[in-house]
Amino acid sequence: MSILKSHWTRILILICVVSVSAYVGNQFLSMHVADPIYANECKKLRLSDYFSDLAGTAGDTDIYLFEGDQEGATVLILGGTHANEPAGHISAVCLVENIDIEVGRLIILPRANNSGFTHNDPQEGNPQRFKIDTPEGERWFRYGSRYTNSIDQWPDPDVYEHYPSGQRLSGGETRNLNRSYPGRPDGNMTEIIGYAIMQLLKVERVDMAIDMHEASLEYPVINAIVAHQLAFDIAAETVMYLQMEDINFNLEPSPKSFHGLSHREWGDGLKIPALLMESANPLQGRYHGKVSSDIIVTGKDKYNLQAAKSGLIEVDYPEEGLPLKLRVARHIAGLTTMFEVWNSNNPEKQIIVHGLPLYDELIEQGVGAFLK
Amino acid sequence: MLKLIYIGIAFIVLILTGKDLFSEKSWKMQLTHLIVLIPLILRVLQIK
Repeated sequence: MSILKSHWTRILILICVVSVSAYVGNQFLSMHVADPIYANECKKLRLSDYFSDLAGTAGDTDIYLFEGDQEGATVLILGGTHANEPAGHISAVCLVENIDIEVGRLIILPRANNSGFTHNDPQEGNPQRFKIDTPEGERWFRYGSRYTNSIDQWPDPDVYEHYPSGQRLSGGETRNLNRSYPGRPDGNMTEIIGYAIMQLLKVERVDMAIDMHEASLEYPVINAIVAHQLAFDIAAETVMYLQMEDINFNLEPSPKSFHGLSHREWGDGLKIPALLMESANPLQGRYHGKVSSDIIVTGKDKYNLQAAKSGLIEVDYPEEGLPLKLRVARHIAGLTTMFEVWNSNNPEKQIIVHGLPLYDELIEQGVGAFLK
Repeated sequence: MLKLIYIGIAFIVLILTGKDLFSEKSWKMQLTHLIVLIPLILRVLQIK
C-alpha cells in the first residue's frame, strides 16, 4: 500500500502507457485483417505455392485463377502492387467478382504486395479503410501504403541498390515492389515477393501480363499505358481503340535503362509482353487536402481543383473530381481492349472473358453495383 | 540480425526509462516519460 501511495503518479503514468499502447497497437494490428473478396467460381491459390518461403508471412497473397473450357492464352493481372492506389486494387476485385472465362486462363492478384495493405504511409493521416455502397450494403476496403510494411522489412538502407542491375535509388524504394523485379529468393521481403511473381509468370507460362496502378496528378506519366517493347504494338492499338471511344490514354514506352519495374523486368527476363496502366489518383502527390474515406471514393478535393486552375497538374481535374468509379472504368476498359487486341493478333491463342463491366455501366451505376 | 539488435536496444532503453520514471520527482517530467515509453513498448512488441 505504501508503494502505491508514494508512487501513485508513476503508476498512473504506467497505466496510461499500457492503455495507449494497447489501443494503438490493436488499431495497428487490425490492419492485418484483409478486406473480404467474394470470388466467382475459380481456383484459389497462394503466392507461396510458387515460392514456399513466403508461406506464413505478410508477403503471401491470394491468387484467383479463372480457367476456360477451351485452351488459349494465359494472362496475369496485378492489382494492389501499391496499396495506396485503390483503383488498381478495386479493378482487380471487380474482375474476380464478375468474370467468367470461355477460352484461356486469367490469373488475378488483387493484393500483389499484401504487406503494403497492413499499414499506412507515416505522417500522411490516411484512413485505414474506405467504404463503397453496394446493392447488398456497405463494403469496406483497405487503404494501405505504397511500400512493404517496415515491420516485415526493416531497416531501410540509405541507398537502395537494385539486384541484379546495381541501379541506385533512394533507400525507401527498397520496399517498393515495383522496383524489386526480378527479385531474388534470398533477398528482403519485397525482393522475395518480386521473385515469387516472376516464378508464377514462368510456371504458368503467362502470355501477357498487366499491372494496374495510379499516379499523382503532378506526375507526367499519368492516364497512361506503359509498355515493354514486346507489348508496344498491343499498347498502341489499345490506345487507338480507346481514343475512338473518347477514353484517352497516353502511350509511354517502358524506359530500357530503368530497372526493377514490372513492365521492364517481366519483358526482359521472361520475354512476356508486359503492360502497366496508370490512372489519376487525386489523393497521391502533394496538392490534396485532408484524406477521408469519402474523398477516396468521390475523388473530389478543393485543393486539387485550385492546383488544376493554377496549371500545376498534368491532367484535367473537373469540378466533380476524379471519382473511383471513373478510374476503375478506365482500367477495365483498358483491360477489355487489350484482350480484344490480343485476340485479333493471336487468333490461335485467344483469351475470351465474359462479365467484364462496361465503361458506361461503371460510370452510370458506380463501382458498387459490380461488387457483391 | 540488425532488426534484433534494434529491438534489443529498444528493450534496454525501455527498462532504463521505466527505472528513470520511478526516480523522477517532478510530475511534468514523469509525464514526458509517458511519451517516450509508448513507442518503446510498441517497438519491442514489434507492433509498429
